[in-house]
Amino acid sequence: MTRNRIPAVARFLRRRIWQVVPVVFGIALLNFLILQLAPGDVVDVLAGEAGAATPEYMAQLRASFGLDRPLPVQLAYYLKNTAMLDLGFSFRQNMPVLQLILERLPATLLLMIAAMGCAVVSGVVLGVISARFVHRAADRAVSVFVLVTYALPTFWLGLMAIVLFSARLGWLPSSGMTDIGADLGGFEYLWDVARHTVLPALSLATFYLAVYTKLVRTAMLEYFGADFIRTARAKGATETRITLFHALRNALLPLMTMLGLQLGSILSGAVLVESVFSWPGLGRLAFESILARDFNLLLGILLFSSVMVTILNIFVDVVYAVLDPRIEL
Amino acid sequence: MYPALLKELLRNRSALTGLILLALVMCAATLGHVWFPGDPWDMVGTPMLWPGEDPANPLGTDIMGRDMATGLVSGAKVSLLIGLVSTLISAVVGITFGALGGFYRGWIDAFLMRVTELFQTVPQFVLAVVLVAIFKPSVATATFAIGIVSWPPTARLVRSEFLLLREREFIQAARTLGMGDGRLILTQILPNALPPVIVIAALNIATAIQTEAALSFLGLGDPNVMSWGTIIGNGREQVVDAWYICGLPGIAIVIIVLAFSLLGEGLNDTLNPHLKER
Repeated sequence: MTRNRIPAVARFLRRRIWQVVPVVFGIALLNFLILQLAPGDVVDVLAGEAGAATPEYMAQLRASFGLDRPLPVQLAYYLKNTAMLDLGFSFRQNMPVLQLILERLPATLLLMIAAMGCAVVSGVVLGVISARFVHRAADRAVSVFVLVTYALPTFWLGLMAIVLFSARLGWLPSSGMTDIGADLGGFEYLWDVARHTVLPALSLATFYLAVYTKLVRTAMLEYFGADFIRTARAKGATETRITLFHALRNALLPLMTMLGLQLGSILSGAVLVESVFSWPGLGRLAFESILARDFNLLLGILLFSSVMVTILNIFVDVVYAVLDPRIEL
Repeated sequence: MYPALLKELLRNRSALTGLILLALVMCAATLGHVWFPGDPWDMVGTPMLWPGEDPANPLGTDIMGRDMATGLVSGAKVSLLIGLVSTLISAVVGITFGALGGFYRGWIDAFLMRVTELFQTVPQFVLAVVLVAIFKPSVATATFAIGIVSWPPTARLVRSEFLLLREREFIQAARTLGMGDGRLILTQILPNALPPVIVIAALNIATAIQTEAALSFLGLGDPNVMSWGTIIGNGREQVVDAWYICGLPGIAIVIIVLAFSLLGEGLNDTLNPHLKER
């Protein structure tokens, strides 16, 4: 990226950040619809089944939702609360929902980034190998591997990894993000977190690894027939150079598009992986709120994770523009 | 046309493997009841018997002494049922959205695509979890929730097919003959847009089965129905001591997902032959 693109990026970000607004509005509308259709009134659903909320809080909630008013007014109340980022209070966890979510966010982001890193790197390597040796033994081996990893349920793979690598071999820790009780500082802390990240990140990565491998292979094969590759060959560039600098660079673009499209699905995968590995992130929080029937928290997580997907997508677009200078921001 | 298609499908290696695996699972779901007729919730033996330890429970028993084989048979039925019905729901919603948007374009299209984008932005599994949790876990809510979260790719695909097809000459001809919109969509455009939809539906079944397993693994399964995810969820506390309780249903999920992915791949080769060389 040259220096004169930086103001363009800033302008683009300013423009795109407004796209979060319709998403928040849409999800809030969807949440409201779900609450209306659910059995019992909104407050019954939100306060949970077992009645952990105090009667005072229930009365306060009923007032804040305007439940004695007509439906459009109720909707306006709900949208107002959401727009002011007032996601309510979780009685089970005794904390405001937004605060709970923000506390858990960094762990989920770490897991997602680690898993995506693994999936992209190994997907590119396998994709390049199978495109380079198309219809030969290596290609066939990769495609069988891809087929199987695609079929493995993430949460099951995680459980089996715990059995093998934590229980039988004792190589890696099986739960949490740090060792409980160990008071570590500096590099020792980072090393501890890294060791805890390996199994959850790899379990989450396998599914996407399969998708990226297929995508890179298809894109590379397409580019091997393109004019600019023939030109490079005619100029006497080596096969390795053509593969890595000409075909792969272009094949990374569809990969970025796919990555952007899949952010929501990666977050979904994180919910499962986190509940297997007791990873203290958003997914684990969602699992806890299911167990406690804390629906207000659950709806808050749905809203927040959708907003996060939208924001991450904006960043994907910026990276896309960096990779491909033809794209205007 | 159809017998020829079937013949070609059987000659395709992916499709044939997929069909064989699928037949195996279907046998398990139907004939399995003859061998293992009991109620999967009945406690029939000593808890945590390993597979092969006792011929009365060939695949062992779980922590509560329930027969694993009976549970797996019940799970096969649940998986197939939820996978097929939820995919049907998502196909109907997706085709409706895509067909209306692609055919009418303009503001209808803009509106429908906005809704589609919204459903694509929301993390699908989280939305399914919310729907099932709030509307009480059951086979019906799980099927409905999985259908509701999985239609956007179908809608986009159908829309793009409709945008291309509506400009073709045979459609223009039918329009000139005075054919109404409804007939034009249903009898002329839709049949030609279906092949890629069939491929995506086969892959959707695979995803739906995985989603169902994940839901019941998290404890959001029908409390009266034994599904593969339920067995894995119940066995996870003991997974280190008795990995087969989680292991066997997981292998079953892998087989059925492989079956539908291979079938989808084979269908793609036969229905879109121009892509075969990729």
